[in-house]
Amino acid sequence: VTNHKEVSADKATGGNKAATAHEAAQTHEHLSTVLSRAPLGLAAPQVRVEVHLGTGLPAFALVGLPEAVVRESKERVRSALMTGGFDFPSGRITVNLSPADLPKEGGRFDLPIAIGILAASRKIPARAFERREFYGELSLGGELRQLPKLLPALIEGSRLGRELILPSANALEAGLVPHAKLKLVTCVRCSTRSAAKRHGLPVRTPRTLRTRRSRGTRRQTPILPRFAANSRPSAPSRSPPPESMDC
Amino acid sequence: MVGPPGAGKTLLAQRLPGLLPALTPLESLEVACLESAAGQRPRLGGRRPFRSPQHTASIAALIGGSTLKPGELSLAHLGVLFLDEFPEFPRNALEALREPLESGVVKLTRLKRTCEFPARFQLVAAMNPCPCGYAGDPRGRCHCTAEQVTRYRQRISGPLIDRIDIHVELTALPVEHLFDDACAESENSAAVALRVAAARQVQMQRQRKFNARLTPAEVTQFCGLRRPSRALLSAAIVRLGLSARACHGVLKLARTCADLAGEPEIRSNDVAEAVQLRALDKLNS
Repeated sequence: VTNHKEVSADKATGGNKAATAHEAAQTHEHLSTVLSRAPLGLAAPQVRVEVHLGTGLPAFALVGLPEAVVRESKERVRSALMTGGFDFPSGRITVNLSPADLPKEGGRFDLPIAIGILAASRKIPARAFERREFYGELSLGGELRQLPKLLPALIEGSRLGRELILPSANALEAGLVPHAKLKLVTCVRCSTRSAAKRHGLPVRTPRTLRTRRSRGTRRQTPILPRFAANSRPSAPSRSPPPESMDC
Repeated sequence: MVGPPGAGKTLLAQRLPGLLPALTPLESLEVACLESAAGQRPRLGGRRPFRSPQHTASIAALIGGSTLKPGELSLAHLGVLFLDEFPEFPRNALEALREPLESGVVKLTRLKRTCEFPARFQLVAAMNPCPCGYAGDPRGRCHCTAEQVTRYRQRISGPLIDRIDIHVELTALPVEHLFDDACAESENSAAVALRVAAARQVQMQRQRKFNARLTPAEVTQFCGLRRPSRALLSAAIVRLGLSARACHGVLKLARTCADLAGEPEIRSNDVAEAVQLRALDKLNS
């Protein structure tokens, strides 16, 4: 899959030449890495979701001890991306959930896998992924579902100063985390936009879909963290309200 | 709590979270984390958890499952764990309570993974005095043989009873109290909660922790007794056959009674009250 337009758009925005070259080198290999976290009791070990697009017969392999629910995410991601108006890459897709010996459970890896596929196929730029964590279970229509067992992961991620991209249905839970940088999203297309937004890069979304925006999902009240004010007296008293995005 | 059916054991236990002060922000985040790890939607607000698992609960449901999910013990962290019909719980499930009651932590070891969940809860257990429930009834409604009663009480092991600091015997409410106007004017939970908060503050100022968490060395430091009180306690230890742990429990309880009364020192009637609250030791001795 080649996409010269995207690279030239990157150059047109100016900015760091070295970073552009670095990205070009990275995307040339059709490889991307997206961060997330696995649930493990009260701990939330980091999981690197690596996606590689190779040549060959169309195939979709998922490795790294995925349990039944995670294995089924292949089908959800494929449908969600296609109904979301993205081209699903036609080559050989390999997804590795690293570390390989940690069992992964739950539907939360759907969104990181989808974002990884888009980044590897250069539908979205893959630069800020080291500072972001993605969580989300996808429906076939591309909407994000509420996730269980998310709070320990959010606390761990925000402690490292990462930006957390999560379903807006988890807003109440996320509001408990002090000093969190949150981005609440309702569908896979919003999350791609939030991944690209910082660099002002265009996200390729078909025109047909852009006109089909639903009014019902427009309102999204930002949830202020309730307890941020009292938890750490020396730190700034309140974390910024989570940015919510929808179509 | 030991008492006949309908004496108000469950009602009393349910009122307990209301007597405790609200959780601090960090504590409620900790509780929310445990609820989230158990796959539940975290409750918001600073209310203390109140968990009352049914007596059919398995050991995995109480302690935590193989999927490294926190159990009822951890979900009751910083709140109240109420076990109604205490002797009906499976024996191994009750025995599994022992270590967490001491350490405040549940350690799960499953295959290659280990996991630790906090479980600093207040255990409240309720039981009937005998299988039929009416032992000691003034009208002689109990038909259990002495052996049946003994066997029923033996379902709760000695080490477990030893770890419970307060045993209360409840009796059925006399009929004249049911419709008494004086009951309507009795103290409500909010008023008691104020006294509890005051006593907790006294404890924090004195020793930076609650009486229940005092180590043996701190017990000797903060729960010193005068000579007559000490004689009273020694007599009680001999009479009831209290263990060293139970003795420390009585001392801490006496300290709490004094704190609630606003006394700087433990008086002999505080010790007497604390000893009085070991009803099961009295029954078994």
